[in-house]
Amino acid sequence: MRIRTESGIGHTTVSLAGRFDAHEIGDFRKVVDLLIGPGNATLRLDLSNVVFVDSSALAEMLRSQKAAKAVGGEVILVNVSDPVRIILELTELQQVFTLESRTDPTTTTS
Amino acid sequence: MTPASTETHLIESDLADAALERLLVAAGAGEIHRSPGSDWTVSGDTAPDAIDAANAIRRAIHGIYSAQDDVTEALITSQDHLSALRALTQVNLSTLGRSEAIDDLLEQARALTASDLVAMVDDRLVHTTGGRSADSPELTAVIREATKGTDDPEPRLVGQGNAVIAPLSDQSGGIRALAFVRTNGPVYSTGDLRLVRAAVAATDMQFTLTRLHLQEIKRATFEREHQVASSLAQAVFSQPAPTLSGVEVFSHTTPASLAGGDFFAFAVVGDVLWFTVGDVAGKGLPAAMVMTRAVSAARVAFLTHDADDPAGAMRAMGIELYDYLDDVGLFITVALGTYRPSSGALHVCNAGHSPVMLVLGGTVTLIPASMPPLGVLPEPRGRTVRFDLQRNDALVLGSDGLAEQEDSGGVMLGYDRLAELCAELPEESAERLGHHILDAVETHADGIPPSDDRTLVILRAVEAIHDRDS
Repeated sequence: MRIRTESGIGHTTVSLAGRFDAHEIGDFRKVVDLLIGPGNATLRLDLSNVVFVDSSALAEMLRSQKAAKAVGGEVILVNVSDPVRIILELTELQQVFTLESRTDPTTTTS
Repeated sequence: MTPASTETHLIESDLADAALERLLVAAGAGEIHRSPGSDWTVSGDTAPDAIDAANAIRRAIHGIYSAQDDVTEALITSQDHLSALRALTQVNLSTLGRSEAIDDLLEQARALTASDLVAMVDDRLVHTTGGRSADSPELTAVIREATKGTDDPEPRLVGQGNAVIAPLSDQSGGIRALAFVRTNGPVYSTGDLRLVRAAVAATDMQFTLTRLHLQEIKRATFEREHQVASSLAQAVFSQPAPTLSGVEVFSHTTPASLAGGDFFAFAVVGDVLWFTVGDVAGKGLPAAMVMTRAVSAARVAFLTHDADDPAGAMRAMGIELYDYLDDVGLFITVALGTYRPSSGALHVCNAGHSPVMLVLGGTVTLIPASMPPLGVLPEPRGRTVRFDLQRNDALVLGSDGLAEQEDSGGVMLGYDRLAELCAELPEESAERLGHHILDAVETHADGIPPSDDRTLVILRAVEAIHDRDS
């Protein structure tokens, strides 16, 4: 899986591409843990190029969400690809994340 | 081994002397005064040159014999070194007692280098051989030098050249160097330093072998404990499938490794069959440990809720597990429900689990989740959905390891194909349908090992409503 980080004033986006499964959790955590903290609590995860997620990856995304909320922020999922969207719907985890489209922001919150 | 006796040389020398004596007699000698190792004197009418020549020959022969002695002694010393080196390399730190083995190792190193004592040193004296203790004057200065440390891996002479400090390459055991000391003998020569290197190399090798041996023991211990723990975790599935008139139950789970996070559990309470199927996020023993706790929580929930309230049981289970799951950063997808064969009533609550498929009259319907997995929200709320089953209708609960099984080309079996399989063999038993689905997954894998746990539970109604009514 490729992980790319873009940071600007007031926003940080991590873009993932490829398979996001148990083998990728370590690299993902190394990147994301550095980006979530007081004063920088909101993180966007661009999942437009993720072709597969497994339960370990979902658990890791959820862990990031809990960490962000603990410091007053959140993890926003951006341009969720179809495979990820289907898994989020099957597991009802879409209600735990804010989903956002790059061109037409819509919000679903728990 | 002992040095060869000089007796042989005298006998050989006597033969040469006898020949010389005959020559001198032939040259006119009268009486010959012989003494081994010194020149002869001769009386009579003998030419002085003949006497000088005879003595010169005697000195040359003695020189040759002396050189032969030196060569023999050098060969014996070399053999002794080889024997000592062989003994050094055969000291087995892993099977002898450690202290005893180190004694043996140092003793062999002492013999090899003709030292009076050899010591192992880290920040202080650790072990010594040769009868000296750490506070002996011979060792005090050497240990002080040895503990200074250096990046130079080569042995270095200390003092007046009567001691050598040789750093070890493998310092993982905490030992920093070997110290060799001669209290009375000659200073260490260049040749001695080669022997010191050999002793250090053998010691390094033994330490490395010991470390590898201990690592292997530790790894084997971990593996054995892992296997035992995995067996204990998987033992929650050792109970036979429940039997209740009017419903057939098939259950099967195969972890991707020794243990996994998939689970199922049943309980018959009165005329109701409680069931649950779940999947802990993650794999292996960590997931299995969480799984056993989830099974316990489910069994408690079965016994404390009404048959038409799986959502209540799910909520209780979720509250019970939330703190634990939050701490470990995991969640569990769960489908939980009840089936009452006497009425055909099936109640199901789904917390983020898939696949949960209902086969009604040959048509497959997904039962979607009404709440996120357990561990996501502290007080989860889901919905119970009710279905009325007829004869041969079936509920199929699986785990993602079925639909996500890949073939050699990386293509997954897929949820659509899994749904088709569930609708096949509508007249067959739950057992036959279960094996039919598992075989299809295995065929699709075509030898590719499972990447995730595979779990399959099937409930098949075997009594029609009208049978019940009659």
